[in-house]
Amino acid sequence: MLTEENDDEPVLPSDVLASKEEIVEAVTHARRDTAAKLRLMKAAVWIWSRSKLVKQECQPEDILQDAIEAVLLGRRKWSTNRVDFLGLLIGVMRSLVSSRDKTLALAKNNLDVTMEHELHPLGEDQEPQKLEEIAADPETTESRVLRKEQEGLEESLLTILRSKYSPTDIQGLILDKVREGYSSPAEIREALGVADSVYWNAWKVLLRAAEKLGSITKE
Amino acid sequence: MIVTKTPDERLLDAELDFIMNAPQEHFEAYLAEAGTDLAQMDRKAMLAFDRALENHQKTNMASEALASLTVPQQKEVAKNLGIRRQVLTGFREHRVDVSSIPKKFLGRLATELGQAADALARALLGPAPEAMGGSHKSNDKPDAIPKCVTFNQLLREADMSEDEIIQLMLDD
Repeated sequence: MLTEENDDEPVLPSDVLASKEEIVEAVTHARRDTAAKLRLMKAAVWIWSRSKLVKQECQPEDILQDAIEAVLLGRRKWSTNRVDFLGLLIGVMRSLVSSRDKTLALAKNNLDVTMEHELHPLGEDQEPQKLEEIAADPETTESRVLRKEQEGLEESLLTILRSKYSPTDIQGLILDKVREGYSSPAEIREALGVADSVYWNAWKVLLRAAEKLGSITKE
Repeated sequence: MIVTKTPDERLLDAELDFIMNAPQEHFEAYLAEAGTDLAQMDRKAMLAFDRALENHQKTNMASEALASLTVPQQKEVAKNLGIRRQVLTGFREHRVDVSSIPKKFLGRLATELGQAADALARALLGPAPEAMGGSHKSNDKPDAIPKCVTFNQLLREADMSEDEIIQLMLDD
């Protein structure tokens, strides 16, 4: 079970929370809806493939199952005025995987104790950093290196994807907006002023390219 | 405009937006071009739904078994487990940190209730039955959730003796 911490968005006074019966009805309805199931499974695959450690211990369908259970059991609230049921399940999958990734990383770090003599020499006098100076920093040297590597990998995934397109290609322009930190796809569409069909078609191409890139980096 | 998400998280946001919101013809074209085995993907999704619903049913039964104990039954269960009724009340209110409960004790409680231990653990992770009301506007403050305590704290709150606590915390 991916059940560690609950980092749900806080419940607001204006939220309309779904009843138990409404949740069961939504689950039953989604179960019968092939198109909805395919979207949910595809989302599970993407979330799973982008996880750092969770993908080593479970499969995408397990993530979907855990998200459905979390909602059915009331561990995750459904504010029906804020998100539809598919959006809720995708958000819960991301939240559960992110939480579990953090827990697994912490557990791994707790096993990886760095001794003072193992620290790399720093500065002109090549003295290792004093333990008392780094005592307040819970991140070990190894985990810091891994984090930097991961950040570099993430940046390079986007950079490599961007490098496949010319400065004026719509796919490239979309990725530029993602890199600039545009917070929502709706904002990207608006900023680029492109028709919806052009935007969706560009993302279809981008997802295929990202999938191929993912399989290349795995190899 | 600038957000604190990593580039990877922003990319995933946009990718998931496509998966969730792309018109059906674009989504189907993507699946076809990706060579997705639709039947296999549907089977896996169906399995996820069926397992979740099955676990939900078992969890509900465990939750119900705990919630519906009569006072004489509560006394009997507490006596058999060697705890005070106050401890059992903590379990009935779902305010025990599940990860802090020794497996041995959880198994004994599940046996007393005639339920599976994993179903009982899942039930305790969720809100108590009375907290799952009908559809409603939330009047709860975000911090109005009952305070969760460890099993050890619950035993101490109930004034169990040190010897009793040591015995109950054993997990072999």
